[in-house]
Amino acid sequence: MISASDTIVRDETTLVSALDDELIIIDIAKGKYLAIDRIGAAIWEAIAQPVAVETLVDGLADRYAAPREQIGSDVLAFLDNLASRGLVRIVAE
Amino acid sequence: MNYWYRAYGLTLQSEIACPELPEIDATTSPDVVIRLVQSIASMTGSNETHFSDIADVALFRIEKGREILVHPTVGAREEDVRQYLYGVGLTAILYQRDESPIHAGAIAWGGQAHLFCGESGAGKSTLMTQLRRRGVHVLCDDVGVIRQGSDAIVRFYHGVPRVKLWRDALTHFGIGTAALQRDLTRLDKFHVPLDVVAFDALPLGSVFNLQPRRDVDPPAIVALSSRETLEMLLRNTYRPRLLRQLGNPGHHMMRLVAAAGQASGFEFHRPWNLDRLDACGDTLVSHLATTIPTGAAA
Repeated sequence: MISASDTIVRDETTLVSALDDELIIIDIAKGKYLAIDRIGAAIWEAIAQPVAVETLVDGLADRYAAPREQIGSDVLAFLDNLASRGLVRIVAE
Repeated sequence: MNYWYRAYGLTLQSEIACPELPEIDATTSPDVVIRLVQSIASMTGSNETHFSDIADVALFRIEKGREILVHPTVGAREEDVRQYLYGVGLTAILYQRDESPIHAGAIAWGGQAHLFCGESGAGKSTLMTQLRRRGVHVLCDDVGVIRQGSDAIVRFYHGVPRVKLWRDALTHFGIGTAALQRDLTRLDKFHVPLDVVAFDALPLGSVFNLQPRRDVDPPAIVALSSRETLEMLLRNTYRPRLLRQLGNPGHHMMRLVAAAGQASGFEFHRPWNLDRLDACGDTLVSHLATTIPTGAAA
């Protein structure tokens, strides 16, 4: 489980491609793909470099003018989903 | 003795005569070499070798996307050996080469390839034959490769130019079976050769999911989203087990995403009745004539 105090980064070897408004993230191990919407795509962009989850949530709360708590739990759920597929990992401080 | 052919956009040099494949001039650097092996002793391999042992037909050794060794069983029919060569042999070669074979019939229209996917029995071959009767250029009824060029355009490379038809469809079209080759596994199915075309590939235009429906008449065409088109292409990956064994599933999926982005996807609801084939042809031809800007059949 990823927590708000972690610093995370996406897996660089992951294959990703745009399809219409969505980003298709390929989960090779499972032979499946994950289609993510614009907000998911913004998160995927933001974690190209290591970033603290709190900083990420702050940035998204500002950008989408949404309550921080709501954004926070959505982001953690999304990151956990990515992490369970090995698409994102926690980096040491 | 060597023969030279072209299939899936690849050049083949073969010691086995393959009359079903378009012949080309001899080339010094074929993509794939097919050798006939008399002694089983030559059929050893490394961990990069794929073996396929078809009882009473042949043992195939498929190597690094470059070479197929064929050791026919004594008494095997040449036609049977060739069918497995086109099937498991070329499919394994394609996956070893990190290519993406798709299970689909295809036509050329307006300078593009339009694909027809559908489960076995959905009527791909029958529809291809119906369109061919109308002068539409049919490329294949079974398998082709989807490849993205350095220009980012996704193209379709057709495989063996033939249509496989059940006896009732042949009777419907008034085609006699005397000169036709019988299918390997299905005794009431026959292979009808198609005209050989001068090109290897066409940019991918549309992809249709063929759905025989008892509750639909007249035929109907419904547009799909890009994601639904991607799902359709993924479902129609040819011999997915060989992809997982020999190919690169990640690259394959990326290619299909590119294909789904470029192509227009549709469901084609076809009344389940041979007597309504004309109506199916009408619907498709008028759909293509309206949606493809250049209009005329390629």
